[in-house]
Amino acid sequence: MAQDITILVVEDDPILKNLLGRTFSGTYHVFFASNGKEALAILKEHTPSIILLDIMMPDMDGFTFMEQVNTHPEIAEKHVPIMIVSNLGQQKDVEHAKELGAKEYLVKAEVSVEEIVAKIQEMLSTGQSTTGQPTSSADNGSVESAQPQSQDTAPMQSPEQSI
Amino acid sequence: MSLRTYFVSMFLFFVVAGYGLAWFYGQYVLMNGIEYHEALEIAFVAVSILLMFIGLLLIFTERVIAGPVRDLTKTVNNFSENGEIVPVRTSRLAPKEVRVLVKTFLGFVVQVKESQKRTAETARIKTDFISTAAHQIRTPLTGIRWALEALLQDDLKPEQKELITSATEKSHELVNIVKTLLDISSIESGKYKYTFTRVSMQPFLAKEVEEFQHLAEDRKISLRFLPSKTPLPDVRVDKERIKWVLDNLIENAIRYTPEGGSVEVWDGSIGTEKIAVYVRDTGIGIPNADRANIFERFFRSSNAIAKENGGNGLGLYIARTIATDHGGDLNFVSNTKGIGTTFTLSLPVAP
Repeated sequence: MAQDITILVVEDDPILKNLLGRTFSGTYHVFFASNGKEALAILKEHTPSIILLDIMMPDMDGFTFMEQVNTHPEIAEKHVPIMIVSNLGQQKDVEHAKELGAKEYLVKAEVSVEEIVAKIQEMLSTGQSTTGQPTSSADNGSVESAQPQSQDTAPMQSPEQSI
Repeated sequence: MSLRTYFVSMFLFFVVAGYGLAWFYGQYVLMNGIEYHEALEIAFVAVSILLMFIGLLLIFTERVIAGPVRDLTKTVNNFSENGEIVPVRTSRLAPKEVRVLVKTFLGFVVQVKESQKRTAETARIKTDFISTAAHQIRTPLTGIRWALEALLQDDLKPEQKELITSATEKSHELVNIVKTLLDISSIESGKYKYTFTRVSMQPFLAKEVEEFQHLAEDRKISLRFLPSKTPLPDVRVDKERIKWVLDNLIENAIRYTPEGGSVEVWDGSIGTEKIAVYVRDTGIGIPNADRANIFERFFRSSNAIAKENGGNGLGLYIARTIATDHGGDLNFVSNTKGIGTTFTLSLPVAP
């Protein structure tokens, strides 16, 4: 199981934080931050395996946070992969985020929490073989023994457009 | 001074100068009893001097008229290329018409620039508004969706499960609507940046069709890709957007075809400038009453299958806009052999 994976969730909405936390608890260690500033403080002390980053937050938004990460060598060298989980989704936002170093960009409303978890697993298992710190020992093993995703009871992926 | 006055003055000047000189010349010759040859030489020199003056005058005139006109042309070109306005100098000696023209035209160019600025500002405000609104809607929507999905994983009585499943599906629909609104607003405001690359359509289509095999099997429909024997020339398209259009066309075809039916995708050339992708279904077809409207925004066919399939009437509108933005088109015909519809997506060949 993914017992050694730590996620830093940076999200200001308490309900969404809660819903994410529910799914992660028991499987991952989770740090919570309500904005960029808090997240930076956590990052100075700890090295999570991955950061789930919202963009629109008070006090320090996601973009500023990433800029700060890049300019703080002691944080930047931890090479923690960043996955944007935001409800902004315009091209310019995605591009901007990728420019600042985000590895993935998910639009919250368009994914289920299970899909987020799947993406996390994906990012962490590929992260092993490429650049950046090996994030944790739970690599290939965790992909197979991933949490029971009740995919069949969860609703189908969002229906496509149709006439 | 107006051009007319200008030229009349010049003409009078030459007339006076010409006759005057001729007369003086005649007097000079008579008074001094000059020989024919000498007379001719002097005449030659005099005419040359006169021509030189004429030349200088013409140069001056050209400068004073054509100069500003050339500068104005350069300024206008400059402006249409990079939006900068370079001032145009007109000397006070320039004819009135030229000065007035330059002044008026420059005023007009400045107006155009102002108008452009206002339009851009409006577009930005509109996009910001829609972007903000979409974000505002999405956040609570995410909460609703995730909470419902979490609930579905609990032990539920069948009725409870049904209710929650319905609510979840509706939340998904809302998500799609918001996304579509955002897409439309960015496409319409011209802000959507297409990233064009050279694409070879046949392998692209083969992959597309393969992705939908699963859905087709679920619905017990046969889905085939029939590539044309002659290889197709490459096209220049925004891969992601064209994939979206094809996704829409193929998925619609599958959803609108009852069990046992078939969906076929094939390609072909239209002359040397365009290629076409055809998607043919054996569905119920598009009622004649709807034919004119089907590409309009928010239009939904009133038949039963449309209702069952949901959707929000924006898919075809966007698909067609994307096609035309590429320099192509999206159209359809009712099948002649058998029932159903065939959609044709045409795209320009890469240069």
